[in-house]
Amino acid sequence: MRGQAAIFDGIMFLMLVSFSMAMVFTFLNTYGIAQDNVIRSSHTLNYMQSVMKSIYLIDASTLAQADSNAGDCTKGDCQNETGVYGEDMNCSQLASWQVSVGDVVKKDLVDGRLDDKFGTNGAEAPGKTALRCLFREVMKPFRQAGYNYFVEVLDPDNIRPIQSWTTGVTSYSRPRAELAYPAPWVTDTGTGYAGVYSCEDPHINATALLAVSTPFRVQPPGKDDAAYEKDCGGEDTIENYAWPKGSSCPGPTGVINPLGYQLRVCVWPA
Amino acid sequence: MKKRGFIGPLGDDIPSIFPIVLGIVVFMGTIVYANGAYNARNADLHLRKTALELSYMATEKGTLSTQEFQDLCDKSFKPYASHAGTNFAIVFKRHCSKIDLFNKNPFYSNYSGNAGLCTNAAFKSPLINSTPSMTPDVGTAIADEVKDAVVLNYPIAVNCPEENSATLGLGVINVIVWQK
Repeated sequence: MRGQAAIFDGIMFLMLVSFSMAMVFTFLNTYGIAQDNVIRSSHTLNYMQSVMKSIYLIDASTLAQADSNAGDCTKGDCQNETGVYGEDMNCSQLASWQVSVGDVVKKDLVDGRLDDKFGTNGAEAPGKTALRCLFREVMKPFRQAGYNYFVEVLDPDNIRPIQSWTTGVTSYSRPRAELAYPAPWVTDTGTGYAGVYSCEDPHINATALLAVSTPFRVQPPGKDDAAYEKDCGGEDTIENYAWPKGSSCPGPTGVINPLGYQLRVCVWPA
Repeated sequence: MKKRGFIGPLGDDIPSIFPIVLGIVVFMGTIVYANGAYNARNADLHLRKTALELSYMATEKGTLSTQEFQDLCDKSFKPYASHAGTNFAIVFKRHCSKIDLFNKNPFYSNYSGNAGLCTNAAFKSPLINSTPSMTPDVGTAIADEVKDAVVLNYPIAVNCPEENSATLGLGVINVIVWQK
């Protein structure tokens, strides 16, 4: 009887040890995960801040060689990404734009559309091209780490992408997106995510999405600008949300304040 | 009067000694392993936090000249890394027309033109030094000598095509941190 009791004591001790071990391994498995997530998010946010600063600082003309077919593979300079960004990103047209990328984007965005021109048939303003060429370069480390990105502009009145905007409609509208913000998008998703039109697009796995928005103030045209006259005359020159606050046809009066657009970059694992 | 099967007060517990000793050995092994894993995780988190802090300092303005980089190196990077007790190397690269990340090692890419290097480590390779006019393979040389490093890369605006140019173009900051 004593021998049996002793073996029972030993087995009980082993069970106690097993329980303790389980607790120790459970602690080890969970320890540091929260800190790890915080550090990852901090790195991503810091990266996005650097990217946004580069929009205001980097001269658009320096991006003239940053094309998807740049580099000669036969000479050890293989930078060909035509499968991601298309055959020609047209970065070379930026050679004569000796202002910051932010200035070119603002010039493009004065009419409320990021479409490389002012108005529907207006002057050249390659803001979208400048943004695409810049992001192709500055997002390279992130892309190498296995992330996709999408860049969009949020309208000044609501926190909604301008390509989703439709009067009276609050939900994401793909037909409107195609019309208001024609392809190619400012993204690296290429053929892999051909259907992505916004950070809100259901093709993106929202649980793994990280979006960062920054203020991007744009000054509307002056009150005597012919664009207002054309817009009131029936031409779709300036989007409704791009008009100065509190103004209506035939044009704004008084002081015109900048509109508070936002630039939103979202990243998600490829 | 002799009791049947009784082999003494200790001898009677001999069968239980084996599971007890096994339990103690396994438990002690677990504690030692857990302590090692805990310390390793803490060291990793510490390295990454240090790398993040250094990158905050490096990217705060969004643009750097070589002189500003050297000032930051002496007044911020080195004191902070010394306080944190880690080795570090921050490589400041001027790419200008396009970021050359796809050729050779993607994390320690070569760079064109002048750049800057700030480090508190003593490298074996004579190619690595702290003068602005480094040889083109410095990034690769650092990668060869450093083990288990945390590497963070950030875009930054630099004077292009030369240090004295008024135009700002593409540059990259590599923050590399590892244990002493």
